[in-house]
Amino acid sequence: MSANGHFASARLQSQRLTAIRNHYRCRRQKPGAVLIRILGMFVMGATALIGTCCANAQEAPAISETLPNLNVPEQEWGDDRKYVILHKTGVSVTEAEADFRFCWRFLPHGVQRRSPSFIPWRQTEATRSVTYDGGPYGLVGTAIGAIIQGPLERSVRQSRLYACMLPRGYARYRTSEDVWSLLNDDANPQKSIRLQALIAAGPVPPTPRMEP
Amino acid sequence: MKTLKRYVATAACLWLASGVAQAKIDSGARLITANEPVIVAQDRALVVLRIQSPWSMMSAFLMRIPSAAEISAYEAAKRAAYDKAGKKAGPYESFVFDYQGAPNFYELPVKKAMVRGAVALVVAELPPGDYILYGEGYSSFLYECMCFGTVGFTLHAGQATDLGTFLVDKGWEQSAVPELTGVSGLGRIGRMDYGLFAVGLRPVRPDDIAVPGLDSAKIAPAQLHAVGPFVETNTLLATRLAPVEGVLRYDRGKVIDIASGREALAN
Repeated sequence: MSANGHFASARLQSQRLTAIRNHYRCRRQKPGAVLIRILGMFVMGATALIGTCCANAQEAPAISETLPNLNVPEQEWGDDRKYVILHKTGVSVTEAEADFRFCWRFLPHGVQRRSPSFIPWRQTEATRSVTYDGGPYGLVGTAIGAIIQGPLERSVRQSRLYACMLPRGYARYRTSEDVWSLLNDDANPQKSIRLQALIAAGPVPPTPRMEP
Repeated sequence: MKTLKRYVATAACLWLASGVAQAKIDSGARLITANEPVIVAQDRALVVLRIQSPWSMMSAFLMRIPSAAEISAYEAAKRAAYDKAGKKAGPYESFVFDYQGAPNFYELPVKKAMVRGAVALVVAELPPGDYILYGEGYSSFLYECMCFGTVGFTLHAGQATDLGTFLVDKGWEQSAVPELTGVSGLGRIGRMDYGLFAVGLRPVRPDDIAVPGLDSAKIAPAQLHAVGPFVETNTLLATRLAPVEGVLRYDRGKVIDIASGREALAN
């Protein structure tokens, strides 16, 4: 059950998740990154996957506050290290939202800072965009970059989120990649934060809890 | 397969890191080598740090808190570069700027230690000022920041300050280092594609390795205090410094300065 107790129908929910997932996957990449991805797939002989990514991005529906169905069947559970939802017994939605909002600031991943350099302490500094463009390794590098980008970026993101949220008493519960994608939409962080806060403060998720 | 994946992740890490333009600027730090006499210059500060880690490539990173004048100079230079870049620069908030002014971010690497061994002894000459223990990394790259809590200290001109021992171990296994108990043993989430290291600081002890050629009575132990969370996105991973006895503890994610009993607020 969701915190507010109402779900969309299973079919509608499935359509929505698919659309949002496609929307999410496209919006978080710059045009150059999409091109790189396509090139990489071409080189690897996976041409069947080309060109479908952003086909319906413009048609993606606005994300409502309706929570996804958290009762995800076992066969749909994703990698338990990454694809989880967070829950904390006794926390209020307001508190959870404040925690997620605080931690969300740490999620953008930039290229690693080098020493010696200057850090403008307590000033806003731009995140130096990470690109998996192959660098000096040409098409082979581009192909590898296209393959590893998604998994590596999700690892980095989740590692940071855990470092921030787990010490605050939140626990991880398994879910699917689709549900995870819905709840981690960088194109609409306010909505993602809101949804995750509702889940965190809601009933204990029905899927297994993971330690830590 | 797992090993292959780890190699790919490591290569990706190096590859991504290699994309940073790095102009040749004066580091502002001078590492003291094994055969060098240790002299504390009157206008410089000497910092002593031991590094205990299973890996020889590890580095500790310190940040000197910049003065208001330094921040002003940085902002002026950034604004000038932004104006010069014109429309292609995009929004000011996302404008990436390589500042060529005096640095305040310093690396203390095991590779350049004065004394090597199971515990390395790094001695460096730095500008005096207020510092924070910023993070951990290698080969000049910041691998993980202590973004969720760390310690600060002051380095005084003409004085040697001993920070103690910087502790680094695997975060994904339960560390045998007592100080790292609470920040290790993460299991598989501590080792997804990149390993998260457990990091701590052990204040100086009487039996610690001494600095050759420098009277230990002339080295002051660092006066540490807790520093609250700070946002650093230009890094790979983010973590927190392990609790430091008498200095730093955590209460459900909040950073607590033990001496004052107050929360060290986010920066």
